Amino acid sequence: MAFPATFIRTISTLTQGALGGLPRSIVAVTRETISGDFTPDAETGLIAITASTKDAFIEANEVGAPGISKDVELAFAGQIQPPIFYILSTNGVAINNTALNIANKYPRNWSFITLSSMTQGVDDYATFIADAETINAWCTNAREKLFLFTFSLEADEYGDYALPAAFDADQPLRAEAPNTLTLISNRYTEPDEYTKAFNNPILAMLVFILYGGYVSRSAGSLSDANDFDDALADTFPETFRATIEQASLAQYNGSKDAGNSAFVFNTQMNDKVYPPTTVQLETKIAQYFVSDYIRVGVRNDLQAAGQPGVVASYADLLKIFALFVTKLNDCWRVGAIQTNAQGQGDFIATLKSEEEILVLDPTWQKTGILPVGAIVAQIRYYSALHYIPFVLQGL
Amino acid sequence: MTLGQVYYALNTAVNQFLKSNGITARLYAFGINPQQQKAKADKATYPYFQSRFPTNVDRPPHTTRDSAIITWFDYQLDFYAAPENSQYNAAEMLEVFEKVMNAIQDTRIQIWRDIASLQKITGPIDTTYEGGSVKISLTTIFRLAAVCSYTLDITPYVESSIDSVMDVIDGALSGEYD
Repeated sequence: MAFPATFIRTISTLTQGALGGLPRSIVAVTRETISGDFTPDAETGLIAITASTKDAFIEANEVGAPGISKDVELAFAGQIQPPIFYILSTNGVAINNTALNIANKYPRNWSFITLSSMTQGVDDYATFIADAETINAWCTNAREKLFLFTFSLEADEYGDYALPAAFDADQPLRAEAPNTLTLISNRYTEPDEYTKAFNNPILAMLVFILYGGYVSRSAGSLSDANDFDDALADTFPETFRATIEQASLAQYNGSKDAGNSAFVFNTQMNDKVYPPTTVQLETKIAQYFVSDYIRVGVRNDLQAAGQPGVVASYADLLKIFALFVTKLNDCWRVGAIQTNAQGQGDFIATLKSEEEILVLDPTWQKTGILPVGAIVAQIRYYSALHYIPFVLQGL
Repeated sequence: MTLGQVYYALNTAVNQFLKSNGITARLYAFGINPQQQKAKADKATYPYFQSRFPTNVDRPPHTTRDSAIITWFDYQLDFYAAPENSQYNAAEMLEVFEKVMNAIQDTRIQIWRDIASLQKITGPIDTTYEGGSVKISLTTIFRLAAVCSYTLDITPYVESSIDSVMDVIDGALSGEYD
């Protein structure tokens, strides 16, 4: 049995249990220069912060890099903490695709990217938005990364707020942002009387839903993810909150809760229209998780069975299909796929017939290239129960 | 049909004819020694037929799975008419042989009409032999033509890489195919 040379580059990636496959780490991008004993990884350029090193990091950087320091503090502020938190520092220059590609050298090491600065776009609007647009464009569907950032605003002299031009419907941050979620906020803390440190509630929310113990966790349900430590709810007037909503952007306040608990809502990915036609953040996370889990799972199962490849035959396609369905069911059991009316995972997976596959590629059994589309699936991923007015009426 | 499938179809047609006409004789495929069957029900009683797998085949040199090629081959039918150490009426036993030959040849019946076309019949050749007792057997060779395929409907053993498997999985997950 001779295998083509391409098989050699197939290496095994172990999954740690059913859910540990994808370390859903967060990367925070900052222009600030990092001081202290925190050197970037030689291969990826990322600085890894853990619960045991975060205090030393803050101590060394709260003067020189106050923006990222406040976000590190925020990420580790609550009861739920990230096992690892990455920082990508550009040392004062704009972030670019090269740096992002290097940081993505091991694509499965992190899945989420956020943008950090002291004022989150208030005093540094031009650079902050420029970086946001670069990251937004880089986060394509193929890369399966999600970009979440808080954009902060200050009131003008009349106490009014206005969304800047970067959030117009035809701008990339809304028109072409399938993997971007922006939260608009106006709250800050004052470390001293001259300094404003703007909050980053979307980071707090991300930590909560990622490390809260479930694969799929609601960001904006009424019972979940409210009143984060170190993140203050916005104080926008009702009219401007409506404006944010009309722009399909997220916000963090208590206006939707009878008990006035603050939570993040409108977590559908940025969209140019309202109501948004994009999926919820939670659905997107579930989708990327399922995709990763199934890819790694099928690959591992084949390799565990001593199969560095399969035979280009319908019988082996059936094997792949069986593995695929098993993995889909795994994902359903952990809640990443919805349940249908029959109490089963809400997905339809189909292996096409031999004749249909021959139509896709008449020579596949000779070339060994399995026709893409031989297996088709419709999957309803997890979606969170969010604030929905008529649900409350029934209570 | 492959040649092997044609062969068994020819046998089946003969047996169906024998059965439908109330004849107890049966046609055995090659590879069976009717006299050595242990189960009594399977043990052949004289007379019986036995066919040989076609050997003189004009096999085409190159075929694909889709090839359906007219193929000429010899189908040999042996008729064992004489049981060992028993009385027999040759005329009565040969009647069975004649009936089968008629069923094959008679244009109104032509039990093989859907399987193969008859080109030529050689025989019967008297292949009676003596081994302690006399056994009478007749051998008839039919030159037949049938449309045969030579490449089985099995897949060639070609490897697909894990990467190719992943492409299929990705295609399914993307939801872009239907």
